[in-house]
Amino acid sequence: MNRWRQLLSVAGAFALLVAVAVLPGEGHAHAAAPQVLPGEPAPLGMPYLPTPSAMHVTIDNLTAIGLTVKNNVTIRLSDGTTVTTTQYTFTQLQVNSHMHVTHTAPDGTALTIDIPAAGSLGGLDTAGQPETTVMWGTIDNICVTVLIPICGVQGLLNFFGSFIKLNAGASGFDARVYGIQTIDNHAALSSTDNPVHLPGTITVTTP
Amino acid sequence: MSAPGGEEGRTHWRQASLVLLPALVAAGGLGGALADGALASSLLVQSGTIQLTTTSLYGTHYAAALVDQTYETATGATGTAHPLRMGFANGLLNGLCLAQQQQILGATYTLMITLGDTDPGSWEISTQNTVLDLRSATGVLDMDGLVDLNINGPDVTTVNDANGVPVPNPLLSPEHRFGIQAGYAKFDRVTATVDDLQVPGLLTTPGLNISVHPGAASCPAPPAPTGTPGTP
Repeated sequence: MNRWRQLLSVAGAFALLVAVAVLPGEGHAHAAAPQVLPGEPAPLGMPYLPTPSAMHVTIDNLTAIGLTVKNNVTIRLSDGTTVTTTQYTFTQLQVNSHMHVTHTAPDGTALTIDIPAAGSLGGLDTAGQPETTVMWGTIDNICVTVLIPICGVQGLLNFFGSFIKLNAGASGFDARVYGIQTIDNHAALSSTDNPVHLPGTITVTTP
Repeated sequence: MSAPGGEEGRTHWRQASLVLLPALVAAGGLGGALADGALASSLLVQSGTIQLTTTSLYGTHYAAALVDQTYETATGATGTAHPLRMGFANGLLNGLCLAQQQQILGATYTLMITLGDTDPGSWEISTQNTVLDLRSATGVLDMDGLVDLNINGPDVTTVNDANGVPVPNPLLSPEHRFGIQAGYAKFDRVTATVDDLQVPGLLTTPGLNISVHPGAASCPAPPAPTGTPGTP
């Protein structure tokens, strides 16, 4: 009984935290045809072939606007294998503090992108319209705060996001991400809200 | 060329002059070709790590991918590095400084090349088919248009062939390596360590300066850009 009460309270808190839009999210048209070399398999479930190694992405604090979730999406990796994962679509994804991205190749070569403060993986275009960011992967942890941080609510996120748009502030984001695509149909040099704004450091290390 | 500061420095310069001569002649040739600005040339900087700083680097048809790059050390040993190779079909630079340390007769010297002007509001250097092999970089990276992260390295595109078709695997990335693709990218206030820099296409710059400094010298920290670059 206590367990049910706990679950209901967390679900209620989660529902309170999100601003709900009235319409379900819609898929977007991808702006470019996939580019693959002869002999490579065709992309499946996403517009390009990601590498078999997922990126490990952590974000200390973020704001997601217009989030919709598509569960059980099968994508094909560049080695031809497929995985079933989750597709997250945002109109804005603001990194409020510290994002760390690591991609480790099978030979141990690691690429890291470290953004110590604020950044963006999706914003507004020059026409003031929200851009689109799509992320394919698995969220292993995400926290929302109602008086105290409540973590491990990714299941609720996937559930609610599958039929309503969510706006949420969150912390403790920890995910394995196969690919991220951002689309700006009004790309312009003078834009200060570029979809990918990463003030930080890129480093390659080898074992 | 900068004069060394002390007695010991002068001795080193005399000893090193014969060794430095070929490099300076080559560098002087490059400087002469570019001295009047807006001249077609190409730039290739290789061998050892290079410090690169720029107020801003902007380019269209941008891509990056991890690659395998073989190298040979001064002792003849060979190995393979795995830098992040960045490519721009068309690039504009807002000032550029390259610094590379050299050991000459047991002494350390730094060869420094600066291109462009000192105006942080102008992207005065234009390049074609720029390729950078990057070990690390600190700055502000903005990407726009269609941006893909973790795309398979060989699938990225930058330059087109004579028929306007994207050249397959332009960065020569092995399969299943991390890649980035973007319609355009802009890096501001960049301080980077690169393995090499190649501009095989057209390079135009209004200014070029080459200097040699005793000891380990660094490029000055790049100022923040003002304004936005024009369309290359």
